[in-house]
Amino acid sequence: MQLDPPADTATGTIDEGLYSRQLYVLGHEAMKRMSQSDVLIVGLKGLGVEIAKNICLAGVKSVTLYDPSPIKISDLSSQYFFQVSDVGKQSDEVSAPLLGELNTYTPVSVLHSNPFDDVELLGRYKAVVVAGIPLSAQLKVNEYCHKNKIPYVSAETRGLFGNIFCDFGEGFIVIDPTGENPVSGIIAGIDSSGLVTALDETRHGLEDGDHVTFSEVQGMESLNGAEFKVEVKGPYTFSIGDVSSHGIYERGGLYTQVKKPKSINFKSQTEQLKEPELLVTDFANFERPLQLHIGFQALHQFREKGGLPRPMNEEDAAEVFKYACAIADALGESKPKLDEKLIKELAYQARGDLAPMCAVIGGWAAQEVVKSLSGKFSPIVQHVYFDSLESLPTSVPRTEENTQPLNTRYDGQIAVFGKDFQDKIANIKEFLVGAGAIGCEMLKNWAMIGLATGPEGRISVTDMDSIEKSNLNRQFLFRSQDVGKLKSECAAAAVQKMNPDLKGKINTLRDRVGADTENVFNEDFWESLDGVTNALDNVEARTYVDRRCVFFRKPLLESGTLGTKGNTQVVMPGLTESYSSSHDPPEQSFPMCTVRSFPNKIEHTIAWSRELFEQYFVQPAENVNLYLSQANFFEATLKQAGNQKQILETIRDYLVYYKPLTFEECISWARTEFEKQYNNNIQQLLYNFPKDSTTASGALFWSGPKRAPDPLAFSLDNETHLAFVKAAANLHAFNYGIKGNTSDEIFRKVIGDMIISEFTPSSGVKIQASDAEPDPNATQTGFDDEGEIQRIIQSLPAPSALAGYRLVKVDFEKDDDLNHHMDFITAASNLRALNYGIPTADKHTTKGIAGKIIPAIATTTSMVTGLVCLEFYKIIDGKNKLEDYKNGFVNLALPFVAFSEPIASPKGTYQSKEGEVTIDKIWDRFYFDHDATLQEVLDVMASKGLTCSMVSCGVSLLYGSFFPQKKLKDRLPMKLTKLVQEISKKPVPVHTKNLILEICADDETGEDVEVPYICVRIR
Amino acid sequence: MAQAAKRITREYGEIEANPPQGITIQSIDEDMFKWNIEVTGPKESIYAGGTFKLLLTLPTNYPFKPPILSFQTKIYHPNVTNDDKGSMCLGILRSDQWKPSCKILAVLEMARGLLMEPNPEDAVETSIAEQYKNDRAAFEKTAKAWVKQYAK
Repeated sequence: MQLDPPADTATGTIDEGLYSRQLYVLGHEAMKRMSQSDVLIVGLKGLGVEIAKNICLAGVKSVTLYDPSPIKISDLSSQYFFQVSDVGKQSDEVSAPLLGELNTYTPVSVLHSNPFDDVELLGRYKAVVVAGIPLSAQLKVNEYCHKNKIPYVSAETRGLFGNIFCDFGEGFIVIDPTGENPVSGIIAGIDSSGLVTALDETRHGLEDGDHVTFSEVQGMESLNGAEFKVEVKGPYTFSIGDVSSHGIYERGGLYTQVKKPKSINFKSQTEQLKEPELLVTDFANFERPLQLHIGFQALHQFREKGGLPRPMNEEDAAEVFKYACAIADALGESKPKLDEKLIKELAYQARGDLAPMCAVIGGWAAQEVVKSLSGKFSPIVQHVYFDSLESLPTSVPRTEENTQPLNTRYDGQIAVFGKDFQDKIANIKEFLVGAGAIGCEMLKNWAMIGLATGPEGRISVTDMDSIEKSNLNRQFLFRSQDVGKLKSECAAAAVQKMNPDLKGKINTLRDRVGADTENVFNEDFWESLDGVTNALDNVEARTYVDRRCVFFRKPLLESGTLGTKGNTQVVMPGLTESYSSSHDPPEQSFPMCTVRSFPNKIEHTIAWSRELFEQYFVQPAENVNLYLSQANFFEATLKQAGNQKQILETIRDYLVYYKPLTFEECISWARTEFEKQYNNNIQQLLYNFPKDSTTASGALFWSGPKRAPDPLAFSLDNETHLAFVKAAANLHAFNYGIKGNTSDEIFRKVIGDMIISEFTPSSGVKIQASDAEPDPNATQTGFDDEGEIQRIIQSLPAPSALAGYRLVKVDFEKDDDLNHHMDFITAASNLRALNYGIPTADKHTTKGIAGKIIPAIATTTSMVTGLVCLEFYKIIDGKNKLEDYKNGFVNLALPFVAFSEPIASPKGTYQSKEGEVTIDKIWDRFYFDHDATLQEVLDVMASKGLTCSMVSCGVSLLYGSFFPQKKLKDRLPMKLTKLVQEISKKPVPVHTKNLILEICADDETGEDVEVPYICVRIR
Repeated sequence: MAQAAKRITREYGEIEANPPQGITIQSIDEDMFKWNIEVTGPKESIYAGGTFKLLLTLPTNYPFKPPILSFQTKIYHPNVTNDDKGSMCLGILRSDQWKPSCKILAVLEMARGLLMEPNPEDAVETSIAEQYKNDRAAFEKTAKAWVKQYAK
């Protein structure tokens, strides 16, 4: 089928609106290569559709499907695009239109000829994926692909087992093996032996074998631009080998990592069957990949003779094991001792089909396809085997009888876990916090596994957000016609369509979960749940939900992604530590003075320009409008503000001096601001701290992280200069409701006619930008601010004279390409970067940093969500040992996948009157069943041997042993509710049934001990 | 937050038991994450005779992030921003130098120490720093006038 390529692929540009978050993972180059690639996917059951979905979302030129097999009811266990009414129809034909809806840039069609009969058909594809097809057919396809250097990915899941095999041909080039930004830093010193020391004990972040280049080195100038291989000597030092011929190091210099492409020689699948290269994911089980490598081959041998082994069937399992032994024997010296139990388990589950496994393997396999097309990130070399045997239930029987198919859509899952466990899954009450990327994937998996479809089951899902265009790239339950709709409702409707058993089972909410919505998510709500699953994108909300889960003792499934990286965590009451026990690195922020005067990275100039945006286009308009609209502005607002004079000056400037009548005046304002920011202020700074000035210790002032700036001279022919003036003028015009304009002509004319006065820096002087403004120095003598303030007030037009007049505040919106916001921030940041000799950044990069955009791609989300669901099975089973659970860590770029046991909740001890007491620092607590007095609390704690030195509730401090007597006399007899209300000056909300008191206490030995909090039932 | 609350109250107790010179802390009972502080200008300094109101804001993940200290009273000082925020950013107040073992008391003492001796090398107000270095008389004149104007 021929399709007209959409305009974007024809011109080779990428739809940044749609692909925004993914572009921050892959980059433009990689995505351009993908947009020119046709991909064939063979096998369209649960695993195939998952791979196809992720590739369609990622965006390729076209996807072709091949799987003419008729749909069976058991396929619905994991194939979310099949309906009961589709049973008997052709798998590829039913999948194609639904996959085609996912991305308008990726048309999906069906291949009508059999590629196994005519392998030449494969020749037109840039990558071929096979999912769950017989090994003999795999080898046939691979032979052709290997010979013709067509990247080939094979994937398969059987119950709780899965595997991926990659063969991208000989001499495959990986352009960027890690996807990390090149490391760079400031140099403190280089000695003649080539030992480089990073500045101020900052870690250099390099690894052995990395390459670096240098710039701005003084002395040893010949190092600049040259490339060296690195040998790491320590966290702050690395060696580049003997550099004694390069002179003597004086000062300065930056190092920057140079990323090198890597070539990989893939072997064919036939070769790899005999001598497999296996990627390890379970470092406690190094043996297992080889065992499974053999086991899967045995399974295929069995399958050739008429279908997969029957669930839990001993006879079939024994035969599979027999085949496995023969295959192992053929391996000769590298022959492992086969784990009979493991191989038989593979046979027992072979007919099983679990949506979470399809998500894990399908997400990962799709990422491998993306790697093969783009050359971005390191591929799997060449096999990976994965299993989640710990997910098998032990609380209910699993027998040959109860794993038999029942002609339901859950048969694929029943084959693995048995009917009894299916009933447990169906009657869970779970709360999903968030319906974004992870939320959508989670709901899809839940719909497939039949979560909450039983009489007791219920899913509550909340999300405050509405759907945006950039979500469609990975939140696959949403379509372009859904933009603007509420995420939680839209997602719920979509999965109810996938599995109609969920109708009436999903409770959708639109509230943010937080302290301010405890009336919605009240104590009855939490108590009614079996557990909670987070699908959040920020630490604050995660921490809040974690705290609530700890309080109500509910299991919590936590996960997150960042580009190709992801992690999962299980929190089990009484067993594991909680989410908040470990700390995510805090959001990066920069010291204000670095941003204001001493930037050395593009992040600093972007932070500065983001602030400038507020100062120009947001705050003045807000202040002016308050002045114009608030009757008692001076009393109500101004008196409260810290800096009255500054606010008044802003109001005066924006109402009088800067107020334009025409767009031309906006241009001259913008041009004047350019001069102020990038020339005059820099000249003044250099006047204050000349380039040769020294510190008290005699060192150069401008050295190390302080980069000396240079003023810019405006030029109409400089694109960045003009871009700043254009964006600033248009945003200024927006403030005043004046129509904007971007034609070069008008800018050239207005600016050409302007006379910019020479600036002369001087001591203690504020900068006057142009003659149009009042001279700030004229009124600076003396500190008669009161008089000065009065003078400004008098110079303001009376609000009544401007009745109804308002400025229009600019609301920052990074995703609108036509609103000039990102144009301004990019230009303003880059000009400052030019001032300071910092490499500039394009608009896309600037937007990522300024908008704090979290890079994201569907593949990682799919995989991480699958891993979460594999843990969910364990929670449903009620497993209560640490070793039953796994926290996952993923970086698909390397690729790296590893697991660790959750960390046990921390325990502590204290000496009571009756001896040592052990406490769980997270899950234990002291209870009071009534609204006690403070004295009572202290007394009861004392009777346990704990002398409280401090009692607090929320942010309020109720008791301190150091409090003066009078304060104590007042507080001790008060009931806690009353006391809390009095001190916090806020009422205790009616929906609050419990108060939580944090205490600091000493035990019987006088030791300061860490003890749990006190829970006081007040209603 | 629970961890922060315990740590903050403990530090508060220590400071109450042993109050530092020239620094008064108002009751933090209502909100222990916001400390209203009064610092008197050291006798030998140009800020002598002035009383400066400071606000110390503690992050909910204290002590893993540094407190934020700002002058509520206007002050002419190279290390305090000359705007409505009165912000400071130097030494242990900077996120890259703060360590969880640092304490609030050290922050307060550093602030008072800066009244004794400004640090022009780490200035936020570079013009004031330049004046401090090159025209001390003019600097002192303005600083004293501001004390009289705002800090009495």
